[in-house]
Amino acid sequence: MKITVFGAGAIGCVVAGRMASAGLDVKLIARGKTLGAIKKQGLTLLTGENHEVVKLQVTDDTSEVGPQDLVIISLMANTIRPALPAILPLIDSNTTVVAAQNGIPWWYFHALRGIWPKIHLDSLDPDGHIWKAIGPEKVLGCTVRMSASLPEPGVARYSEYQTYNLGEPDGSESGRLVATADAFATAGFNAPIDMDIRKSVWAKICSNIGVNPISVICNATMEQMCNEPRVCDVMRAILREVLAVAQKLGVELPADIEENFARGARLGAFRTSTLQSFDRGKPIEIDSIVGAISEIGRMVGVPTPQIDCVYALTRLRADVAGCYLAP
Amino acid sequence: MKICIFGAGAIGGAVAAYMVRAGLDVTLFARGATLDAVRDRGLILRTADDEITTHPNVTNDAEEAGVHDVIITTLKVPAVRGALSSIKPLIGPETVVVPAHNGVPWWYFYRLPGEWPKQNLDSVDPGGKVWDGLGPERTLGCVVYMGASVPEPGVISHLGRPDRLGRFPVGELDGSESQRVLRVSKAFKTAGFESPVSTDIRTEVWYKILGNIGANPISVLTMGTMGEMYADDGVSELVVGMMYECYAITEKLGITLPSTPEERVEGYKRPSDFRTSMLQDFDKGRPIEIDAIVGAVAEIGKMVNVETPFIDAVYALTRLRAETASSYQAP
Repeated sequence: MKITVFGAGAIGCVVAGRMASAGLDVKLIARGKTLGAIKKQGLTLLTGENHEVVKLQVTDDTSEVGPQDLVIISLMANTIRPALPAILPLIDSNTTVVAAQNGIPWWYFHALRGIWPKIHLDSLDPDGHIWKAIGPEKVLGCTVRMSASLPEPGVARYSEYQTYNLGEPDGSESGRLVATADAFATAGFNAPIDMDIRKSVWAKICSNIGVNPISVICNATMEQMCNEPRVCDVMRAILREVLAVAQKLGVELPADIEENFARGARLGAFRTSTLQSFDRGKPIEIDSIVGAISEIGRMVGVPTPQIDCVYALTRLRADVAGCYLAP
Repeated sequence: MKICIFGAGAIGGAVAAYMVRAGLDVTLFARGATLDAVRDRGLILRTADDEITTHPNVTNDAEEAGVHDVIITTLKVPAVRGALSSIKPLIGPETVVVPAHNGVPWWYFYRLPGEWPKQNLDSVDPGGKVWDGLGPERTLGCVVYMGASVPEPGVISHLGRPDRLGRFPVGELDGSESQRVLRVSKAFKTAGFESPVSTDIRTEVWYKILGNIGANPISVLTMGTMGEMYADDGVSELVVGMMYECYAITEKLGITLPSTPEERVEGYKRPSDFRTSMLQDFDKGRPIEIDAIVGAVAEIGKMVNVETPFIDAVYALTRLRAETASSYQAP
């Protein structure tokens, strides 16, 4: 199986590195300093006390790579659209695409029962450019549970806990799903086949929608946010709104909100992925994680005042810092 | 009439300079680099088309300065409590205190008709130290409308129009038109400011809070200028939401504010690269006035049973933002 990981952020580097290390036929699409560093000295993976240097095929030229069996898109949601011209040479009608983004994915309303006023959210994929270019029928949903960071170009650090839930948008257990989960498992990840991937998407949103934007506007670590009762109140209110919106889409989420804070506080001085992007002056993932929930809320008639509040603040903060990229 | 301006920040410095220019007898209480600079070369006021140097009496020794007829406190709110021992020697039996601060003033509940569960807000004056130290009976209410900055110690930049230097409504806390309030108003007017005598200074206080409660903390959270904030629809909606919570509170306090939140916000929508006073403090690593401007309103909301979810959220976030930047000082 020919695999390409598109996007050499922290998650992309770890996925490609672990797959290469396990002997899978994998390429990483990278740019700039990361491309140079990996070409020159390989990819260094750090976890706990472990240190591994992986030789990895890396390039920025996808036309040279050609169509793949499996493409794992590990870009931030808002950077997929500008990357489409580079992504498309990797995809033909037989390609399986794993969309490993945070927040509501652009394919969300594909094969979803019910009648929806729109299937392309303005917060994710206005006018359906990504949808039309990639095709939702090629997609497997994916939620990533792993904390990772890039301390320097060509070096990725990740937590020991790594779970990649994979699922068909229609909930079936297809051959491509099993094969893809196998590839992830071969690389040593926990890769359960998920018959209700949208529920996992929402569960992941619950862990991101409070701390990610708030970490940016407060310049705060996980423990600083989760140990502050007033900030927890804000996050609690946000989560109640998320639960109400999800429920209208037929997703029942466990209301174990308090556990989120305890888990968050245990992460200590960890800076969220959104804050890491912001610190580097890169566009932040605010629309897929936060804006999309407001938009769906409006669609299904659920008010989301606290989400709107945090969204407005974070977006302007990013805008002022040059870290906002409209979807 | 001997006037002491206590606190030589942007507002204190500008008020002192204009009062001295008008020939009033002014002592400026300053510290550190500002004290040295004003002693050495005077207090320099830069306006849009002029630069004047004034020479107020300047001191950091209240004992030596002695009793004054009027003390205008122009410190940041969180700093007042720590300065009480320095202010006390300036106070005699006839002294009038004019706190020129943003937010809910420490004297707010003094002789306010109605039943209130407490008169000292935890957000402003926990335990009533400032109340006891300065004395609400000798205090006049005052609201500040003036934008100035301190580009360097001893230098005040005030770029307002020469015909509109600033506005300082003053009023007795019981609304009466006393001789002392007329004297203080006259001093501000002599210096070139507008200074109407208000028979309802608490309404003036709330009118000003409405202008600050959204823009000030949000400028710290977003680093946005006034122009950037009010050009953003989401932020403008949030400010409107916070203002409605204020309106619900003021209604319970018997205050009627002119104009709707939407009208207030509409009035702010224009190009402006002004950074709010709170953002200026934050930029300089100084404690920000978050408790007086935002926390106090939430606290009054709880007192009068009005829910304030937007104000609470903005307070929580701004306070954490200030804490992670070491710009938070508890009241």
